[in-house]
Amino acid sequence: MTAGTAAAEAVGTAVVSCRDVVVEFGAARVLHGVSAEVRQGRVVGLVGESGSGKSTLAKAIVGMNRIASGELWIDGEEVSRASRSQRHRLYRKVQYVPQDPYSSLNPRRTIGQTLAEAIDPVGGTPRRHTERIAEALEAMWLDPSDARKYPHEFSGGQRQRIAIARALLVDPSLIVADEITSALDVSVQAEVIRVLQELKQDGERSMLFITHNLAVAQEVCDDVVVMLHGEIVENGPTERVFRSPESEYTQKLLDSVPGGPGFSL
Amino acid sequence: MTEARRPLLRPGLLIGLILFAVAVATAIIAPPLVADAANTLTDNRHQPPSGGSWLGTNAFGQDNVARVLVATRLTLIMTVIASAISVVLGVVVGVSIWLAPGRVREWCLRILESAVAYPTLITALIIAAVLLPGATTAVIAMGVAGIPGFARVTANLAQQVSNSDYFITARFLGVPARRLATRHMIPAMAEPLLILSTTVFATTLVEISALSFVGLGVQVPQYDLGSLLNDSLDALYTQPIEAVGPAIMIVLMSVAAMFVGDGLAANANPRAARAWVPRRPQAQAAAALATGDEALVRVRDLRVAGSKDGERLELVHGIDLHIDRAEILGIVGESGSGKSLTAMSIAGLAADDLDVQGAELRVGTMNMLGTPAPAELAQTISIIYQDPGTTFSPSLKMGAQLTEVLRTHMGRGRAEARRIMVGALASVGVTLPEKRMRQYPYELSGGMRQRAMIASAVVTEPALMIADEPTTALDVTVQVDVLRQFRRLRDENGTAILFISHDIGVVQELCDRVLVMRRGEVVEELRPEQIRSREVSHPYTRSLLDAVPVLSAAGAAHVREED
Amino acid sequence: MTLVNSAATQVPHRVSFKAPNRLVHHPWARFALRRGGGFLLSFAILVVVTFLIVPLLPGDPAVVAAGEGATQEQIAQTREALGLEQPLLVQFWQYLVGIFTLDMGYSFASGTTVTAAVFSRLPFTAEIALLAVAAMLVVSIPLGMGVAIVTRGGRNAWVDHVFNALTSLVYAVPNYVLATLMIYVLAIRLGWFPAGGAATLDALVLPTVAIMLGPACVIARVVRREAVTILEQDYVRTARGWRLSPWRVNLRYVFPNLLTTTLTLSGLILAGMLGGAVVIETVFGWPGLGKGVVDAIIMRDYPVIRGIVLLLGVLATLLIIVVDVILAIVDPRNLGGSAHD
Repeated sequence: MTAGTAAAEAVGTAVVSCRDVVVEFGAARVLHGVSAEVRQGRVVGLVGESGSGKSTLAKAIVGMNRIASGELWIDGEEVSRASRSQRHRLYRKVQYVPQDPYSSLNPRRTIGQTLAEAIDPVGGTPRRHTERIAEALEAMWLDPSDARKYPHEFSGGQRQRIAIARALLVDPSLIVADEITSALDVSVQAEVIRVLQELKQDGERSMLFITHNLAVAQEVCDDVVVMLHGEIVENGPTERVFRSPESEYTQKLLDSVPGGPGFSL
Repeated sequence: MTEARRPLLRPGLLIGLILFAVAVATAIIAPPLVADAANTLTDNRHQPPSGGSWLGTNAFGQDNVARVLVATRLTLIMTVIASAISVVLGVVVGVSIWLAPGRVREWCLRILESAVAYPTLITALIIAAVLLPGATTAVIAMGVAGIPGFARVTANLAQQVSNSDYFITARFLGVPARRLATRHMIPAMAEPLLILSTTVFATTLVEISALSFVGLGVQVPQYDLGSLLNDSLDALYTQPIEAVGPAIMIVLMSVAAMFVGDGLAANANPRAARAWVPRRPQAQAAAALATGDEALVRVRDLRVAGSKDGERLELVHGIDLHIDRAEILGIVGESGSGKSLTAMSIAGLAADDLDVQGAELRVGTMNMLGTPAPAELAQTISIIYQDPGTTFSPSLKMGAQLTEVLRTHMGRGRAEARRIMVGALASVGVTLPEKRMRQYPYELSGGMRQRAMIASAVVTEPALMIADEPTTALDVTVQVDVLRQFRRLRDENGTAILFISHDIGVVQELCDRVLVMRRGEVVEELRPEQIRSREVSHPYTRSLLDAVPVLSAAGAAHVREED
Repeated sequence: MTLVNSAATQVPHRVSFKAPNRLVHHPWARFALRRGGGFLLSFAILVVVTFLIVPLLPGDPAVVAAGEGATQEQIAQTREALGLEQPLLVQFWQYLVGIFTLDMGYSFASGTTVTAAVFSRLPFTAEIALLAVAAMLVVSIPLGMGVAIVTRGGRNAWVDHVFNALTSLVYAVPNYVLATLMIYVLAIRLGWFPAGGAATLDALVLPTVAIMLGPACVIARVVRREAVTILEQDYVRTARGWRLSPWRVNLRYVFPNLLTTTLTLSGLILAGMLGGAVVIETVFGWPGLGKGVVDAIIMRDYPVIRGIVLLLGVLATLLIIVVDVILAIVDPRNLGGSAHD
């Protein structure tokens, strides 16, 4: 995701871009006009501490938070100008994966049923889509026979991979992953990170990866956007941002990571 | 695995169902057989119980048992219809409210709120006043009076389901409203609504009978259990036995409904049952105190056990460790490694349902397997917990809580304790310490609360501080600061610290020595330098280190194929 | 017990009136505005509903109200007394004015003013209700807390079973069955208490016990469930970490945190007790509002029905507001009302 100023030249390849997006909760303004974009095939990390507005922005992009003012472009179309039915189609192109793997899958439905619903929300059944479901599960290192099981039969990491599989089955332009590794133990987190890295290989999937863990962001993302108090303080290619951050706050964040090069007690 | 269904018939549920079946069978079979005895006027008035009529006869010479059996049918029919009205219309209203657009929904909920505050029996009375007393009126009145309550519960449930992640995800996938309702909403609400329906049945049974009991329900010549009980009230001095039949029958059905509801609820919530492991007596635990041991903390063969499905389950399998004075010992491990159990056992604060054993468990001169004096415990060991959001009682001001130890165990007066505490708060970087003392916990940020916790731990000048994931809930920039407080505390006061964390980066920076735990065992002891240089021997430690992404200065050095 | 999982005991999802923001800053002022708004809405609904009792009577309200076998003259009198010859809106207006001037007409049965008939009964119901509430809280809070503490972590499982079985059973017995039983045993057989009336002070005992026993069981179970949750909270662990004595932990750290849920539910259950009063007052011949409304319905004394129903409704609503105020004093976070405020 590059700065809004660069938006003009990159417009052809941006899958999602927002311009001066403002989000308000009641009288409180939590996003103060944020401009950013995700280009085709890039994994963009959205990092910041609690209250920075990173989750708010993610939810605004998938339509879960109302945008008070500003523009949101998905695949070259502006959402607020789209008709109701078009808007539905647009939002289907950005798929959200929530943080908590325990509440994101309906406990009363099999994995197959949940995934079939992603393929065809109107009449999808596991039987009709056996092959695609099997494919999706295998891509996430799961067994096709898992389609008959219920969520409670899986570990947190497995559930998170199922949630990613569901998002992928929609064939979205952008996957918005909201702190999907944060609730997991490190070894399980590593397994999810490896899945994501494999996913990146073909260079076709675009992803917005929200995290508070800078090391994870460095591992997974091509570009990084740093947020503070509802504003973007820095963005650019991961390598550049982590090597020579332009913002003081980014430097402070980096120096605060225990085990990192700039850390001292 | 919490959602695992256990479709078993608990004894309560079974008893409830049987009682209920008996009542229904009675209502179906009995009336035709005993109608004569129940309704025919005879001259055998006020007969005492006998072989032919167990409960005697009433003022008109009718058999009391027969009348109860006949009345049960009417009561049951009225209750079933009235409950059905409450439940069905309640669900319809509740779901419609939830489906309505925002404004309308808010107003409807407000009106519902007002209606629910109103006792159902009085609502029923109003309806009875309009429609004039009778069986039909009673049914309509109770049915309608029950609608608001059920509607509100339904609306609340619908609200809960529609806020769940899986429902939102399905909605954004574009699943049409009808399918959302049939596949996600209704299945999720079915179980709680079924349980609530049994409650509605029980309440309706009791109140519909109450309506007849006060004379506003079923009218002569019809009779139900409520009106029978009312009749018996007049005869209470002369023929008290008459009250027994209707009373027993009402209670029986009410108890049945309650048992069924309880059973269903228990099935829906399998978490409920938990067994306690009795603690085994400690054989000469006190004698185990070794002499000449320089270490501040000495733990030998620590075993902690809980129970699962009635079986004893060992969670910590014989751990040995020691902490020297002014040493920071880290324990690192993933969830389920037993690191917190170990720490809490050393603190003497293992949960009530755990059994703690060991060859030695000593802190300073205290045997933690015995029962050390509270005052000494409080002054020797301080504890800091993970989530500063929940470690303070929400209903007491910070000052009252922070000064507890000073006042209870160190004999300081209120004013002096406050003065000491204000100083301690300032020393750990709490801004406006005087003001913080007068605030409630929720008025402070997480970082401030955790600093306050540390301050309260410092004022007793403890020999040992046990910190269980103290920075996990904090932002990284706040974490640095809190970690510095720990380091300073050790350097300035010589406090030994047992630091529990899942974050290898944190323990590597802070600790003098690190134990790696997995599944209740210590797998390796490390120096921080070893972690930094990755010179570890145990395969688990190695895999753990490999799993943690480490921030590198050279930008994203690893994993970078493109460009 | 089913009830503990039920509608009656779910902490209600508060729907609050949004105070005109930023104009009113003080939390208590906003609280007053919000609760006041809620009360006005309830009151408005009550006024409309009680008014509708007469116009909604099936057929000609005057004929119904005058009762069977009434002469034409009596019917005409009734019609006039209820103001039925006027258009509906005028009737409503007069009814409304009557409420605010405390002039709601005359009782058909006794001829006294409705206001007098209603207010002479109020103290009797208030007496029983307040006594029952006090007795209920005194019994149920220590009982629930005690059981939670004794059985924490699954120990003394038998106490748990006995408590569950007993409270279920007592709750399952309707208050009027209990009342009948008590009259027979304690009044008729043993003669310890009068079987009815309000002549002596000890006449209060049986009705009070009959009303409070069921709700006390519910509250005791709620308290127990809450206490179990609270005993597992981090702040209780913190207090134990400070090695405070069990008494101090329970009194300072468990008890105050019980109050929010317990009192919220108590408010609803107390309002429900007004319904219980209707039955119990009838059983014991206690001259309160409950018996009053039953008698009035039987005698089709519509002005009195309206008056008592209105008063009972206002009392129920006020009770819940009083509980809210107490809650706000105990724990100022409750001033905020709903979370999204």
